[in-house]
Amino acid sequence: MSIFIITGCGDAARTNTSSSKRGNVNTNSDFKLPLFPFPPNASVDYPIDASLITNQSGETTFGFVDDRLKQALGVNGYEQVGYYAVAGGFVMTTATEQFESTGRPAARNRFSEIQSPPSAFSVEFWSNALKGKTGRFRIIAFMITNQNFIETNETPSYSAGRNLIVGGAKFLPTEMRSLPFTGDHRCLALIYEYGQDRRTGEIKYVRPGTLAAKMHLNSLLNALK
Amino acid sequence: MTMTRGKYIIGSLWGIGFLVLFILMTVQSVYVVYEDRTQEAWEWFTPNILPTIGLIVGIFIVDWANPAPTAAELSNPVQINPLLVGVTFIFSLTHLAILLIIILIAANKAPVTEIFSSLKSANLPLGAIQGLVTLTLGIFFKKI
Repeated sequence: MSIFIITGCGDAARTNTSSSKRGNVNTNSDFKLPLFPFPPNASVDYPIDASLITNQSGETTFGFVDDRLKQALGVNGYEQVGYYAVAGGFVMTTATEQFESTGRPAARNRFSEIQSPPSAFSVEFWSNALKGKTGRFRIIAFMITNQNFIETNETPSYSAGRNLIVGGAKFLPTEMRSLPFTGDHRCLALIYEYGQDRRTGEIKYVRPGTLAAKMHLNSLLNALK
Repeated sequence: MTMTRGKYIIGSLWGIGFLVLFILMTVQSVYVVYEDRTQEAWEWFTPNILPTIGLIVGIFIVDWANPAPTAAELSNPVQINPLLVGVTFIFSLTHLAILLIIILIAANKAPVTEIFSSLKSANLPLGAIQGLVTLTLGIFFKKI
């Protein structure tokens, strides 16, 4: 994780701390979210239409956005998420999952590193039979921020990406849930893609990604609509 | 059942099976499914099919090279027990099906080391069924 540069300011960023006690139960109201690697340097990213995550009949808070995103993730089988602080907002990450060449999650061993052949009745199986299988892994993160940023060439290793789910907080802290999601805030979906080297088996970061961000997010966007 | 009909049934099965597998292996080689171990893949594939298809093609060539059958031979063709044809067909189909399934499943694995461990793990069942295929084919073609 040493390759990440942390920058931050604003209300939400003040909840950041480098001394968050991982593995400890924190019942205090001043719970600090761990910092998200910044700039994100994702393989691909996609701005989520604000109308999909904002409250159409009242004020939108971080809590509302959190609930909307969690609902869409839940529908799509993402049971585990991790929360991080970022300048001007927060980031919600999913666990590492395997996905198919179409962007859909792998039907078998989705959240495992064990690679099982897809169903013989799937297009993926016959495509692999002719062209060979490539192990594909991804982490999806939603960054809610009112800060702009410039990316760099630094890229996260597979272990760093995989640890995002372990290192994140389980819930969005109460004091952050009440913060307003203003017109300045954006929701950016970040996709961190990793591909397995077919010869060596090593899992490497892929940037830019092999698929358009929208293909990764298709079912999530449908759930938000 | 006449011997000629039996030979054509078994020959057709092996001909179609060989073509399907050969084309599949060729496409996989073009797409570099086996990375830098393509030759090793073919070295695994050829002993599993070439001896049998070679035997069958050889028999057909000998048949075609022979002079046309006489009127007496045509009116009284050599007969073969249909059960033998059936057993040979089933063993042959099993062998070809195992070969096809293994190649398809192996290509769905990554990295390449996993592909080859799958291919090699199939050697035992393939060896066993190939023994039975060779036995039945031997009896079958001995009756010529």
